[in-house]
Amino acid sequence: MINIDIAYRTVLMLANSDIRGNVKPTELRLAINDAVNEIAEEYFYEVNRLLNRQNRGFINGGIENIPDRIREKILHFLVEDQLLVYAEPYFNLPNDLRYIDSVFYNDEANVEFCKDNRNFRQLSYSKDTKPTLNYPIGLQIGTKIKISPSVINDKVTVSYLRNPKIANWSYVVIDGSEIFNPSSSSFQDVDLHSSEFNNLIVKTLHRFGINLKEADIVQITSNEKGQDFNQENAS
Amino acid sequence: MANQTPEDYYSETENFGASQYVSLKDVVDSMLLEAQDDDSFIKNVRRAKLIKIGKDAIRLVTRQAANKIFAIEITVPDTLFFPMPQDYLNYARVSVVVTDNSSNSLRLQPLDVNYGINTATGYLQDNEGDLLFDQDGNILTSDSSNGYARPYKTYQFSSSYQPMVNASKFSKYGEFKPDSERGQFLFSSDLMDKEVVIEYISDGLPLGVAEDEILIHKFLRETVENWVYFGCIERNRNVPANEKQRALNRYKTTLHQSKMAMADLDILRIARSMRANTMTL
Repeated sequence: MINIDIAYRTVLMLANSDIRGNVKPTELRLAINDAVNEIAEEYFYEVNRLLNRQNRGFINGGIENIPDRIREKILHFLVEDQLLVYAEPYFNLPNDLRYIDSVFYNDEANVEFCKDNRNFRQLSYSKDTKPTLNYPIGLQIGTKIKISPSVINDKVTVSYLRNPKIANWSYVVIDGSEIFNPSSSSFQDVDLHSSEFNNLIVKTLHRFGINLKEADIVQITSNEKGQDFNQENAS
Repeated sequence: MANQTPEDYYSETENFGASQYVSLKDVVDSMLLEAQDDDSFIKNVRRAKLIKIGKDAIRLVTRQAANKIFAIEITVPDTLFFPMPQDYLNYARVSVVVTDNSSNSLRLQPLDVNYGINTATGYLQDNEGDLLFDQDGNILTSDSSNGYARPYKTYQFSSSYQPMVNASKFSKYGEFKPDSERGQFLFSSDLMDKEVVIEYISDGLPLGVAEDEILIHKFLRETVENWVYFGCIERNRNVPANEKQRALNRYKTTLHQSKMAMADLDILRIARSMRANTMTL
């Protein structure tokens, strides 16, 4: 988690000026949550890009293995082994699910997901690939999943990447000023790996730059992002 | 079983010799582990494909290197035919159980295969010789004069000197014919109610058995895995040709090693055999 108050104050420090005016908490919430979603979705592309570099021998092992570090950031969103509820003929998926990591039957048999219904049916009827209790198959249909063989109707657990929680800098207004109130029930820190602080600030500022029509902020944050990208890809 | 004590082992007969084998599930799980490597050529191969090629590999390697003969004993029924085993691929030897009077024990005496036993499908014809068809337009058939309708009677073997008789048609212990079309063994009439042992080659994949019960010998495991790997990359466009060739060569090498390991060659048995051939009578 990233402390939202520090993030907010950092953004204010960089974006606020007498000319530009004040960044309001409601705007901050929108900008930060948009940035969080962008960051969370970019991980998969980054891992792929960096794995290609790794396979060409450009990435070292150990703690400096960057694909592993990005995977750590992805796993920030992992929810493990949640028992699924069966409503014939489907299992209902959790509400906060974004991507399925794995589905297991009876803690042992990994359910392999099919690309589409055609694939699911083909595997179901082909003699050598017919699903078994050792090797069940599944198909995601919206917020439900179908599992074959159909005798499986309980003991199914899912591990998944959840949606990021919606960050909220909660406050009370005293004498016309917004005062940070972390004890509010709606309070929520920024739901990202702690290493993303700088990235979050840059992306949030970028949004404020667009919002305030300040070309210099947009320019600076774009340069910052470009420099980061170049640094990551330097041999 | 990782924590199996010797006492555990000897207390259950089904444990006996189990360490010789690994299951198809072990092989597939091992390949799945390999597929998790980010730099592997098979990292995007789907599990269903691994299972499919794994089964193909077991069929192939069992046929080429397993050197494994299954045997069943049956009593030849009055009909003189009996269905082939469920996992039958080809016969190795068919023998009748006979009593050896000198030792008063039972011996297996191989039967002769006789492809002269008629297994042809009979076409039904009317009195003018025209074919008869069913309502779907297919030819009506029946067992007219084949071995299913008329049991095959063999020539009686005679130990007396008969210079005008073709001895190649004689069979001392009886004859049989495997009918692959209908999945039956047909026997000659002298075998009726006798005990017959059918030794056969299996394809290694008994039907209706779960992946953890399909077993392969540990000597064959690496060969099976190498075939699975080769099968996964063989038709992929993005795998270099030299990697495909390397994988194929690796499979061939391990297949050769498996054949040698499973051949059950023993220098003492060879020596014994040669001793018998040089024995002075």
